[in-house]
Amino acid sequence: MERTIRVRFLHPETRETLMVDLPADIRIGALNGVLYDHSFVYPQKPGYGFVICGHLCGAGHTLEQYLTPQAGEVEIQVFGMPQIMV
Amino acid sequence: MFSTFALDTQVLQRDLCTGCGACQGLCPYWDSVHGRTVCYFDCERLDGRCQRFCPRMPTDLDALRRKAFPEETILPEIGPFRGLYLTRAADETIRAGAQHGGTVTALMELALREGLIDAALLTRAQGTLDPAGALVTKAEEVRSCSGSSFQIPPSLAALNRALREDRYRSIGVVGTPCKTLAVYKMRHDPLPENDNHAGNIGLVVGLFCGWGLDWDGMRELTGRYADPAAVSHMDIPPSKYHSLEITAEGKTTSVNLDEVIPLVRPACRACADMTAEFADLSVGGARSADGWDVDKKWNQVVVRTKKGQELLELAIAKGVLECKDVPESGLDKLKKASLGKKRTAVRTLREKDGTLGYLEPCGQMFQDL
Ligand SMILES: Cc1cc2nc3c(=O)[nH]c(=O)nc-3n(C[C@H](O)[C@H](O)[C@H](O)COP(=O)(O)OP(=O)(O)OC[C@H]3O[C@@H](n4cnc5c(N)ncnc54)[C@H](O)[C@@H]3O)c2cc1C
Repeated sequence: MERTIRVRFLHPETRETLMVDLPADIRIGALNGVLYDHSFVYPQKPGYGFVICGHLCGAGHTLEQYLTPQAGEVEIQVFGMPQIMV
Repeated sequence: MFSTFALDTQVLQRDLCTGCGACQGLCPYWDSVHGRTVCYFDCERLDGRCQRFCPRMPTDLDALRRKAFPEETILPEIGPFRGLYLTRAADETIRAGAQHGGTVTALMELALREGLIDAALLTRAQGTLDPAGALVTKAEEVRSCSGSSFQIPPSLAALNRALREDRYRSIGVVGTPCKTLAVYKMRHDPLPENDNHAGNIGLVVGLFCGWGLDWDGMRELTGRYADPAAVSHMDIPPSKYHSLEITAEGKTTSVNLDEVIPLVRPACRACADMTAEFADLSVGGARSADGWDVDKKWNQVVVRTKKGQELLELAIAKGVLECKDVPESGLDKLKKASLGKKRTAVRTLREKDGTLGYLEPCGQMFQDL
């Protein structure tokens, strides 16, 4: 059976929240599409960053790589800066 | 789950990191700064040694001790048990520089001299401050590490580096309970595809431990009572004295324990092991009817394994250690003190999130506390 995670997104500026159930194996980069579908943030290139427990997630990683096997929910902070200047 | 992420979110962010160094000396990412564990980069390894060896990642302690010790030796209150002894080094010069009776120093010297181990992972402090792991290979070097530092150094980083070299065949390790648990995790739950040669750990001597203290706080507190560079000894007498003794230039000052308690590392309050249950031998300060003035120059030793028994018997036979009778109530008192620490750990963990946290996989061991 597909593992589902209840995700609570935190808006980068307003601190509003969005609650969605997502498959645990969803790619982090694909979370942008979820936020746009819910009109939670303005679409922007190249998308948003996502922070779990203070860690900036890799776009190519899956959500479950940031979760314990028992976890059923997670809070994700949407990171406002589209690009990190280096 | 990514290993660095797991360690940070399940251990560091929950104030459970003991600073033992088990996650360090394996890769360039983990380090320690003034007793604080830091991760410089996130890593994509899903089952890294750092998280596997950490003594505060969820661990089934019951399964681990069944792997390591015969079941019939295990006492619920203090772990594997083959005997309790009161000992001290026969050599007065060892006792003079030691924390208590110098049993640990005498045993490690003997083990090196007899070739039972070819290196010893100890901890060396400047006086009693700024300790660091020290790998010694000669019996004459052991005394430079005598005495206890109540700051917790990441000594296991030095062990991991030594194991990686794969030069030593039998390393003896001395450490507090968090460290010896990590060592048993290395030995009994290794990562074969990323071997750190933990099979080359030949002896484990545990130290009893009530708690360790904050690194910077200790330096600051010490500075209020003595020149930190001149401090030669610190000790915590039995609880009725409610003090920390600081000795510098031959003068001992008693500091009220109320000043010390706020410096206890939060992680130590979640530690359920007072007697270093994962070890061949565990050594602490003696407690007897003779009182602190006598006891402070003696040790109590719990023998846990056949190897530990053989080393202790050899030390007694060779006149390296002296023994005296253990009071009848000795074992019961030890069990009581050990249970007290387990209860504090259970309470601390439950207060965090209602669960037993890293002890959850062996929750049945703690259900009646
Ligand atoms: C943080 C801490 C808390 C302790 N709490 C208690 C307690 O509550 N009750 C009790 O009975 N005993 C406690 N002990 C143990 C006690 O202080 C002595 O280490 C023990 O009695 C052995 O005495 P000894 O004379 O044989 O040691 P020694 O012969 O002097 O040898 C001491 C050994 O301890 C090692 N060491 C010193 N500091 C550290 C450190 N920070 N971490 C790891 N290894 C270290 C050194 O490498 C040395 O080999 C504690 C020790 C530490 C380090």
